[in-house]
Amino acid sequence: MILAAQRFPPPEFSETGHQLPGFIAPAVRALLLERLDIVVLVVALILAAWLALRYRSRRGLVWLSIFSVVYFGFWRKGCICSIGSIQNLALGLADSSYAVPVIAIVFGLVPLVVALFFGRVFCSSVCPHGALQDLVLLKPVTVPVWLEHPLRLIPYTYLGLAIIFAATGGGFIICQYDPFVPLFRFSGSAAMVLTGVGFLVAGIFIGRPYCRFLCPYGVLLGLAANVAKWRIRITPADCTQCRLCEKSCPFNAIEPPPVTAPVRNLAADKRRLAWLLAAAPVIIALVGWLGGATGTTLARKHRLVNLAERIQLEDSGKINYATDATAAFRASGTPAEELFAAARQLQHRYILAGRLAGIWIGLVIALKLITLATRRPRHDYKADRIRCVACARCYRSCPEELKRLGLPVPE
Amino acid sequence: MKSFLDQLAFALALATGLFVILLAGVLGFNEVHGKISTLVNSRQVVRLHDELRRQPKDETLKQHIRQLDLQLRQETFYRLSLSHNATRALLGGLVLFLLSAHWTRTRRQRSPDPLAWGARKPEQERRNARWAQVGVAAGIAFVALAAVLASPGRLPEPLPVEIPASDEEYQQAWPAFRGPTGAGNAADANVTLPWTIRWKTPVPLPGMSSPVIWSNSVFLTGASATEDRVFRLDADTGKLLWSAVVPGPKPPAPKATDDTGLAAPTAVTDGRRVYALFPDGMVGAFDFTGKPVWSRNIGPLDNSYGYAASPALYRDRLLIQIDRGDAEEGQSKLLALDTRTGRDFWEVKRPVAGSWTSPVIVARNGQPELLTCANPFVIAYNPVDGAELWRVKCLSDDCAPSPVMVGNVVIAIAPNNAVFGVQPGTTNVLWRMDEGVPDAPSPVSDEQRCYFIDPNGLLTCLNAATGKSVWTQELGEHFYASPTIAGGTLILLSRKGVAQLLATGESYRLLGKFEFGEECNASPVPRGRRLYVRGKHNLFCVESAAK
Repeated sequence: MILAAQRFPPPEFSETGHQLPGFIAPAVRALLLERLDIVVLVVALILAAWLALRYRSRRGLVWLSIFSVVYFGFWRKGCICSIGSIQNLALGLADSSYAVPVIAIVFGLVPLVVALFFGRVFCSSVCPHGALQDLVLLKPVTVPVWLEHPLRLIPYTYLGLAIIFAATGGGFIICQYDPFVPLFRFSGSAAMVLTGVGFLVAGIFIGRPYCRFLCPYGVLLGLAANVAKWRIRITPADCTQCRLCEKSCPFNAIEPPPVTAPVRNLAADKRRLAWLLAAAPVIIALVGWLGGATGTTLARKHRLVNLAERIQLEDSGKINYATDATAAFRASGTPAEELFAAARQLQHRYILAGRLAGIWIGLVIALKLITLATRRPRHDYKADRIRCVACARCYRSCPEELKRLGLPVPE
Repeated sequence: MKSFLDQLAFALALATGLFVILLAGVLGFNEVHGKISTLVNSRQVVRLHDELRRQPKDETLKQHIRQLDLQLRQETFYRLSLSHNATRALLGGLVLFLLSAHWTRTRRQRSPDPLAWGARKPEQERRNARWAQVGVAAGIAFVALAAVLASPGRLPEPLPVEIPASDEEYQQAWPAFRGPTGAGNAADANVTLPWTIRWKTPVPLPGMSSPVIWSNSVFLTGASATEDRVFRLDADTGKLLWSAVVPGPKPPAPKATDDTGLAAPTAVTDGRRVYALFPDGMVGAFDFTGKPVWSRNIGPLDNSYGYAASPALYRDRLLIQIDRGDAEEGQSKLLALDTRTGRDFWEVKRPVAGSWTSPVIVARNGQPELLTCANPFVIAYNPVDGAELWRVKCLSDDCAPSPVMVGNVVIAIAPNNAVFGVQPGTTNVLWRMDEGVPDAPSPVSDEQRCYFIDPNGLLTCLNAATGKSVWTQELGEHFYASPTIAGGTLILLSRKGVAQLLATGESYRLLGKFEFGEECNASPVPRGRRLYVRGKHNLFCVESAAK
């Protein structure tokens, strides 16, 4: 109701007879549905973990994906979702006056806790965003590894920005720019609908483009999944290194064994690693500084800062007309200096938050560069702990799995 | 050999794929077209709203906004409806496309052949990935730098906190046209005769404005067709300490009669800065060293006879009454400027005709009120935000005398018509006096009685609470200067430059006279044992011999 009122201001003149609808309390049914959501989430997560890790059923995950898209997506309109709930949590941590809804806490934390034990089974078939993209994947095109790595920087950046804006009251950008919720609701700006359709069309060829190259919650799930005890194992027996699974993953999440040939220039590799280790603090400091410098620009998203800047422009004569917002502010009698003081305080908060986000992004850049300069011992094909979304596509490509199931193994 | 179902699935995939592309195009066009003007972001609506705030009674404008509102509302909801239906159709088409494409692909799928893939080159992939990583990081940095460059910068730091002058300092000074209380009364002054001229200083530029006093400084304004100036003189010696021009391009001098001139508004000071308003629209603020702090043009202020209203001051607000034209023309307004920067605090329209009265700050029930007079209303405003507090309709003609508040009665004058006692906070006129009505000089009060003088020199004393005449006296001279009270002495300064001193009270009693020897039109300013009088050519400081 409140959002609708903001989107469509009431007619200007009372003589039109327009009656403003009053605010309504949420119906009891809405609260019951929230509890049902929590139950469904928990059951779906357990089912997904069982299907992916124990029963090893791709078909089961597909049916669970369809259920999640229908239930969490089209029926519950994509809200609340775990991806957006991290903003509620960030705001709750930054602003003690904001009471985080219980459902946001559950949707934000439970998939993370599950990922700590079972990997990203939430992504596999419970998240409606991921499930929808997974279902449309028809003809996967392998994104080159050299491109895959750097593009995965973007979700870390998006996560940093989303937390800045949420924690400082600037808005929930993940929700504002969610490409799939407008599709679930059959409503929203055409730009966002088209963005969602664009992601789906791209998703026909590129596996889960939103999950891999944008989703900020996927970053957290990946970090949690990195320490998971139970996770996807491609082969139920010993790996024969037949390479059949190599291209079964449309998400570039299967790591091949290391090169068997001797390393040609170990000294150069060591030098590179040393340089990168030495450069890491510089990179972190530099990106941290840059993040702080963007603080005043980011702060403009906050309505108070926006209003203060507009008032300043009007006062300085650079704009010669008032908006409804500035006129209402002036009519309130609040001294502009009070507004400026509040806006300045917000700008300082954004600068600090921008600096922290910059440090975070710098740290990710440095660690990724260092990771790319090191070799980890690996003897067979394994699902990458962070990137694997537990979709179970790789199972049926493994001859050992086919043998286990009693199915014919191709020549 | 393809089966019929395979061919059908392929054809369906093609058809639905084309359908999706077509619909996406329609949605895209709808979005781009919708961006041009929508209900919520129409710049035209914002501008019209702003215009309406300036002209709230413009019915044509209201009608225009109504039509535009309706049109944009219809367009917005039409587009939303279109978007809603198109999204459903789009998703339906996409589902059909996926099903048929999935069928086609499944039928054509072949077993993987690792031998055909070639050997992987992880080392090369990693090296390329490192460089690509650096490239993407540089891209993020580039976007961040662009954001930094696009930043409007931080909001201005707060202005240094100023310690305002204390009430005591205000009471000891004469900071504005009608003194610290706005009543023209200095209760603690003693200017009984005989007087001696302590100093006499030629005024560099003409003006009808009165001096204002703060500590040992006297501030005065003067103007010519080419410059607006503020002067500071030493109150003890009369020495001209500085003379400053209001900075900025000077607007053309407005038309004004000789009786009004080009510097009729009296300056005002808060003890930190002095503020001067000129009829050409220039307002300037100077610190006590004569350094300009800010200046701006708020014009035009032209009206018949010329502009004469002096500004008032309340805390950090410089209050300027601009009454012009007929009431119906909607040109009259009240303006509050920030004394620190000169920027607008607020502006309110006034439903009145042109006037020459000055606004006066009074306290009622412990709250400040800004009293204004102009045909046909006495209106009180909240000086903080400009909100109208009350109004009484009683005035007429070309109002020039400023109001005065005595006890719980506001005395307002409709020139050549009547003197009114109105009850503040209501719409009540308590009493009316039709005789001895002034045309230009403001009334003055000794807290019980009110004194005013008409164009023929008839001085009237009446009971402020009842409006009953206490006494009258023919003085036989013409006065522009408003009467002033110093202690128990009523000072009347005629245009010929003759000061008559009378005892305030229940009967007329002349205490004596003093001749300045030149034309005097500005109101005299008493302070301690001194009286500051602006003549046509000189500023006088006379001192009482009384101890």
